[in-house]
Amino acid sequence: MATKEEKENTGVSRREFLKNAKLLAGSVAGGMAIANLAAAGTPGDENKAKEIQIQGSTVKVPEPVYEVYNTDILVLGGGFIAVSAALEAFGQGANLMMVDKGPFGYSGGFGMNWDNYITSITDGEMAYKFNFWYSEGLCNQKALKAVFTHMPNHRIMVDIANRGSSAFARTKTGDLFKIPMPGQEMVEHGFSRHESDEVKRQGINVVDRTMITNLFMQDGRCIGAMGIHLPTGAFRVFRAKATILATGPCTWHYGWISVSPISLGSPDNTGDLDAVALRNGARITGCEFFANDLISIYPEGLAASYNGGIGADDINYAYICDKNGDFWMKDIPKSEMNRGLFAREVAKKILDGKGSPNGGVYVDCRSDAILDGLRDTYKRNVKPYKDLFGIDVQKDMLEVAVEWYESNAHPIIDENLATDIPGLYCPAGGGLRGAKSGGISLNMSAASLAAINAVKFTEKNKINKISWQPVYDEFTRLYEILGRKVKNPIRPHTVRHSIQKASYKALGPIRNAAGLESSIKELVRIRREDLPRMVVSTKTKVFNTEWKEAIENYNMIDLVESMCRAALMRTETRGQHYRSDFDKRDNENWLCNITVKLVNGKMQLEKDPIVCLDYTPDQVKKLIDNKFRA
Amino acid sequence: MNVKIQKYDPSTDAGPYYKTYNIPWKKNITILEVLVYIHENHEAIAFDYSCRGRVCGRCSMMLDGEPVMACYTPVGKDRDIVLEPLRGFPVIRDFIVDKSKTRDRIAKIEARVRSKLLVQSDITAKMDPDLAKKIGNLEWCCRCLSCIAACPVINEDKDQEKFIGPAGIIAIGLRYYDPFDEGDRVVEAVQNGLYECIMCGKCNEVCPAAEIDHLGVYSELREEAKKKGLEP
Ligand SMILES: Cc1cc2nc3c(=O)[nH]c(=O)nc-3n(C[C@H](O)[C@H](O)[C@H](O)COP(=O)(O)OP(=O)(O)OC[C@H]3O[C@@H](n4cnc5c(N)ncnc54)[C@H](O)[C@@H]3O)c2cc1C
Ligand code: FES
Repeated sequence: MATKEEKENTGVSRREFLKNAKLLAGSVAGGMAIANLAAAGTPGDENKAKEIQIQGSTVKVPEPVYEVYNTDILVLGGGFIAVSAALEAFGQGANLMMVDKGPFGYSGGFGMNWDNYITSITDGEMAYKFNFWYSEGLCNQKALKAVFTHMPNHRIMVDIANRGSSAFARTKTGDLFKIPMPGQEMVEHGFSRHESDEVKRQGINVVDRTMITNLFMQDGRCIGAMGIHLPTGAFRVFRAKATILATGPCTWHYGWISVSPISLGSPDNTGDLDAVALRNGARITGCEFFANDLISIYPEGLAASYNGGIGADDINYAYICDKNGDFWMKDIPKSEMNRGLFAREVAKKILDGKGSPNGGVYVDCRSDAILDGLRDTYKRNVKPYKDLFGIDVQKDMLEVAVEWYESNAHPIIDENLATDIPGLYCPAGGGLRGAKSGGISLNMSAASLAAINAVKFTEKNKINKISWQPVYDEFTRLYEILGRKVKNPIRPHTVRHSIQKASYKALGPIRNAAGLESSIKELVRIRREDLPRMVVSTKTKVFNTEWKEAIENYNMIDLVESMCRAALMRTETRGQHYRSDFDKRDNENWLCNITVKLVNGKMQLEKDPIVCLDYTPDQVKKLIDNKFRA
Repeated sequence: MNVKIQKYDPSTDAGPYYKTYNIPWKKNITILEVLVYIHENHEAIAFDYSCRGRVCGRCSMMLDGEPVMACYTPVGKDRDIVLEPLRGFPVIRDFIVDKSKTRDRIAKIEARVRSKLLVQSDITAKMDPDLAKKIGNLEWCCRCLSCIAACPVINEDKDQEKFIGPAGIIAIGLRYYDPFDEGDRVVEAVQNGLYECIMCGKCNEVCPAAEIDHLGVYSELREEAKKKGLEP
């Protein structure tokens, strides 16, 4: 409950309110537009609903009622990174709480129970060098080194085994089947279900089905977060001494076929907290980079599903072919292949006119040898494809498209994995990966290091006085979205599909200025014309999926616009970012990161020099132009 | 096709009720596509999904009275169907149910029992590849809990105390095969209702993971139980 003094602080004059309301019509990023709308009154009194006016229509917003939770470490998310961070902090004896938008253990990429390829560190220094090279020079060298040298060798695999995975793939003679990489090795058949089980078994406090919608900020510092409990609509405030942002990649924006974007990710992956951090003053970076696989797009209901489809990637690529049946990648040695090259090869094929009708290429599984060698995840779909859906991959080539499974857009971090906002850590770290994508060993190691640093930070983060104004503002913002009534309403899924369409047109494997500019224009239009008309058709507070969608749309559009703007600005080709109009890597101009920040509600992009430790920019240029040498 | 669905919003409705929508059928249309179509073209409904590939377990529900994975179940021809939330679980709204209690119970039972933590050499030591495969098969249980919704023992006898249900016995089976596990999983299986099961095979029919041979696992556990004199 707020004190009398705080109550008085919540009063906002009508003029101020209208000023803010007007902002909604401008090209202001995201959901901050109607901040400061909360009016004075007794908190908790639901009968004292306030009428507020936006765009000429009246919205009834109830008086804020909220629950307050208190913890030392707050972990936002319930995926791979969140769970690794939580287990580490718990192991350090910390008092902690996790908040997950989805049903815990079922949410995010992590909630899918497929046979994970687990990369484990075998030599931290070497892993650092390799990942630095793979980042095409852009990684934050200090942070990357801190992460890789922090994790004891082999600990990742041993941890995963101790949490319950025991059936790692074996060779015929019973040895552990390993795919070696410099400083790392990969084993198959980790199952993430055991990780979430471990969290439950340890008794870690998980508050799930609770969507965080904003950080709790105080004088520029993060003192927790807030959001809604989806099953009831209850507004929850979490206070914490340190907060770890681990809400996953933003991938649900990339196109739309029937029930999903062209992404193997989860509907939970809408980039919520990255957008929230941006709106609260953090810089984000890496927006132009993503990671991809090739996945089948038929039948439509299973499109781009890694677990429901058949695909290929930079490890398994020999059976990818063009429309003429040319397996053009099969001769590229595994040691030279990486995700960037993989994506560029596919992009070039499509540009040559040798792709498939829907902008992809094909996989050819017609030979028994290929079928035998498929990843288990894909192989188990061959029979149901035929039996249930009448698609026989032993007879016909299968069309596959480039999907998005990871985005690199995250708040920029330092070597402690701390963001620009004191009290907020981000293991997925903007700038940590450069032009390369994540993966389990980097994610888990970073999560563990961030957790240790966050625990240390809890001792420092003391506040003397608290203002509840941000809670009132956020409550009002969300309830305005729920209650909004306008003349020509658009339902949230329609707005979302417009964002997804704009993303798909611009952010694919082949990018150019014209496409990016046109999508940015469209996003600005959606922001100006569609978002204010976005109306939730059912007003229930009980698991209102439309309300959730609407709130997420504000986050998604901020991130997609950041991605398009950064991709437009980077006039070169690097990693998976392939510009058909600038198809060479340009180290002279682009050995740097692009940061996005909001200045007076407007997106501002800047070049940011790479963070060096072991290699100067000149050394970096030489190193990345050569093959990786151990 | 006409789609009759069970709707329920506890904050407004006295109880669950049915509503029918007409939607266009297309070849290979999945139940999930049906739901998205209704949500986008008729009115908002609450349902849950993620992977579109029968591995996250979020979309399980009842189609014409049988549990299915909405994402991976096509409606073969243009016909009328009835959809309801997964049987036996508390409904939050429409198709969204709370599986957390059962899931947590299985998580506990699947904990490895072992005196010492594993070290690297334990893992790199040789393991019979067939055994690894056998365990690997059971790993595909995605906790959709369709098996529990289908199980006649749990649903008709309404006795969850005696029988943990198929997913629970499979979790025990996984540790029974796990060479790193030191617990007595046979006793545990019996304690959790191994013999309550009537071996009807319903769980195996509805399970989205073809890899899991439910009756095979139950039989093996029963054989061991018999050897130990634990047969009732
Ligand atoms: C199908 C698939 C196959 C893959 N294969 C591999 C592989 O074999 N090897 C490998 O190394 N990597 C693989 N990856 C990539 C790897 O899984 C991801 O890098 C990893 O899951 C990322 O973890 P994360 O914690 O960042 O995100 P996620 O696991 O997606 O978790 C995000 C979490 O945040 C929660 N969340 C989101 N928004 C909010 C909010 N507003 N409030 C509260 N919580 C929120 C979600 O509910 C979820 O719990 C794969 C990914 C997928 C999807
Ligand atoms: S959506 Fe994951 S099992 Fe159906």
